[in-house]
Amino acid sequence: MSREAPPILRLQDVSLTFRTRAGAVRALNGASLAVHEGEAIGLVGESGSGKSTLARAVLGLNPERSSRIEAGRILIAGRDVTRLSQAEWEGARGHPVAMVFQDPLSFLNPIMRIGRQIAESIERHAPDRRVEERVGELLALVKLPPSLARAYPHELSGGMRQRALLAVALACEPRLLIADEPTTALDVTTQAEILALLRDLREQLGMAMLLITHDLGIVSSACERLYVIYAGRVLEWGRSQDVFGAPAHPYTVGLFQAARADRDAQGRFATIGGEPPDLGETAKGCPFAPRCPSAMAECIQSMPGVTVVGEAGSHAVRCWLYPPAQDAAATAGHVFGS
Amino acid sequence: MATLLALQGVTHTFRRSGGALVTAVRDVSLEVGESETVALVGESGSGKSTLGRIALGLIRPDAGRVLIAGKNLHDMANRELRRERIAFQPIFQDATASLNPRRTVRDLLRQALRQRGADRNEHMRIELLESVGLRPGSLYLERYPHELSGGQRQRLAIARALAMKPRLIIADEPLSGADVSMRGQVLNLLLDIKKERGLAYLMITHDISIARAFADRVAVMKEGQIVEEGPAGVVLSKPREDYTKRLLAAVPQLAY
Amino acid sequence: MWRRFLTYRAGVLAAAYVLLLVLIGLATPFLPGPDPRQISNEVMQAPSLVHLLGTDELGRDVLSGIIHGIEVSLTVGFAAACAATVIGVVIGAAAGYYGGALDLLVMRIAEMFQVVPSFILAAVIVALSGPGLTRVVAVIALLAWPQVARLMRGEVMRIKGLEFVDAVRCLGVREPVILATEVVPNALAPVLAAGTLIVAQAILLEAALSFLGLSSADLVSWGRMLNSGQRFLYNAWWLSVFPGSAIFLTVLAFNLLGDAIGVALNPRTEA
Repeated sequence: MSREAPPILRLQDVSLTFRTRAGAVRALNGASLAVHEGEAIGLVGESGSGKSTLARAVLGLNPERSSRIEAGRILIAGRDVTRLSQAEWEGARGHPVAMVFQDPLSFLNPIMRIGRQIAESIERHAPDRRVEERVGELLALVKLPPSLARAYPHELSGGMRQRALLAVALACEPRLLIADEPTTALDVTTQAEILALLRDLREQLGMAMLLITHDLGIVSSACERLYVIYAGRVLEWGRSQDVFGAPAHPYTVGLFQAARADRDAQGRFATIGGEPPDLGETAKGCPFAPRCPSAMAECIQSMPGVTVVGEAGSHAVRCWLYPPAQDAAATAGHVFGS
Repeated sequence: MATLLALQGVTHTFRRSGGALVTAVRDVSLEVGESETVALVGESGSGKSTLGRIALGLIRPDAGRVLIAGKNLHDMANRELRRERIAFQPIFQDATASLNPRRTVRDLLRQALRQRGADRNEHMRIELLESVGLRPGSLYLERYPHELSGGQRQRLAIARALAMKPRLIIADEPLSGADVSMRGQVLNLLLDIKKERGLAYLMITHDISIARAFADRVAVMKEGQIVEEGPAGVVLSKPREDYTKRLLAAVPQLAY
Repeated sequence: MWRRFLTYRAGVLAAAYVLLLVLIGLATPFLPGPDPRQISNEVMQAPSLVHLLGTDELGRDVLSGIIHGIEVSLTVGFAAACAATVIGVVIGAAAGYYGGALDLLVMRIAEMFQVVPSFILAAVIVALSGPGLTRVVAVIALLAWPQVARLMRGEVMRIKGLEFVDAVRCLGVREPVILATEVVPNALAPVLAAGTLIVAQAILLEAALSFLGLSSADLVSWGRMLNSGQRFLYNAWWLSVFPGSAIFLTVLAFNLLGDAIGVALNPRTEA
């Protein structure tokens, strides 16, 4: 991959808080991430990990009134979008970054035909194109029959709706598609179809993808690299083969065991003890420490820096089990850039 | 092995809001024996949840019989039905929805224990909570469901089911509401309960890995019918039906 | 819940106003000042320091009349709303929970009441059966229960399909007990909001009936004051404006309060 061109998406130490009735909630806590042209990246986390907040922050979709980016920068193709206002966002969404969601129905207009919705998206982003023709192309691209242009969203099945929403997003000709749990609401067989479609689309269009999911099986088959996020912090990242082959962080290890439904000699399932984190408390240390089987005194006191693990230099972790390198900043840059 | 639950030729048809008739369950027969775990596997719309609700006596099927210990649920008088049905307890997918939001933990458990005529003292409620890993139990009694985490709510729902000393637990997707990191805890709890109390389970799930890890027997459901049934080891490793094969192939595997 | 309620400032103002009315209404017999029925020689006096809101054509004190009118308005409003809510809750809950023929019958009857213009029906009934506070309350309750029943039925139908009701059914609890202890408590919130709105409708309807002279002559009521005052609109504005404002403000307050309760009891609305 080229090091010269800026990544299509870069987050640098982004911290974001929500104001709620129960007090401030830190949804992202110094999260960093990079997506390069053409890459397929997985962002793995459980509910409340901040993975959807991160995705929404990239497109300025978090509510302006109750959320605030406290620190860090978000760069889309080198352009700083951290402080864009809602009005500035209006013209900036869709290209070069578009997004699809878990529940397509709430993002499709219920009283407008599918073809019309795709056409509107085209008119907004590429007004000079021949719209009719382009709608047909896009439907073909997501493997929907042309006749569906005249259908309303409620007439479609869950899988077809997700395809329709994809067509709306692709009308913006994105260079990066963010897919937030795109198959969670679908059956396994439909899920497999949508994942295959996403793979084809990426190959055909050379588009990058940031796939947000809690399902490690999907990431392992669909993504080249992944980031593991917990309580608003990215704890581990690297090439899929490296992270899956030798997960470093105890949380990642536990997550993989849980996903495989591993059982020990007594026939018991592998577990991660304790409860999911309470984001209201801003702990100084590693957010996973209270549940971590290997927690040490340092873990509660401070968040460790970045350590490169493995041979390839493309796998990094933030955990006190792996003492940080001398020049952590340089390491971080190296790994994020790879 | 004595039969706990027997569904015989059960058929049920719904009328959709549009007016169209949908046969959710078509001539299904299924048995669950004492202390046996049966996984009912299928995709949404396969009718597996409807079948679970029929087994619980919550839906009266259009045709067929639902036998509890040899007697048809729908031939019973109301009083007898109420007495017999407590042997089968449900665990639903969404623990939040399965707990009355206006009742405290104490209230919820008292209500259940009272139905069995067993609500004698606070100690029993605390014991129930601790048997599902909510320790110390006294800490939770005053709380409302929304003050618990997702995993704790599912444990509470399980505790309430156990209060009835059931012989069969019918669990409809008990893990889809839980986070990956909480799955192991809930699964272990269900395993412990099975071991300690000799319970039978009818585990309704779309998740093949749960069926694989948990079930003695697997029934695969498609479009309202059971298309394949047999020992878990056989059905999940050497499926006969194309549909089962496709279902197994569609599960995303950890590739590394 | 309280925080949401307080955030809704208009609701708080309305609640304060209603509370004040209730306090004055309760304290009326002990308040100093002239009897509102007391006739005097000081007729048609404009508002002054002696008669803050002036006097009418028989020399009766308007402020005193308005204060005594609170009692009638609130009694009619609360009594009618309570009666309508109780009837509506019971009928709506039964119809929604058991469905079938009962539901069909109840909803047809409710529709009948809803399609007839309620004011005309009320006027006809009172005109035929003669005036009287109890009759007015009964008529208003009779006209208002379908609103509550309809709302209750919808909520009950929604809630009886929720899983926690099924879970309790599996505990072997009897159906009427499930309805009373599981379903109804969870269905009451929007109904209480509607009940508050009925107070407003009842006060307005009572005022309208009194305005038409369809209330007993010895009652002091805002509608009645407005009725006798409107003849002098051009030379004694205070006889119309003050009772009219009292009706307007009170009806508005109960409407705002009803909305606020609806918002406060709905956990889905964020502050």
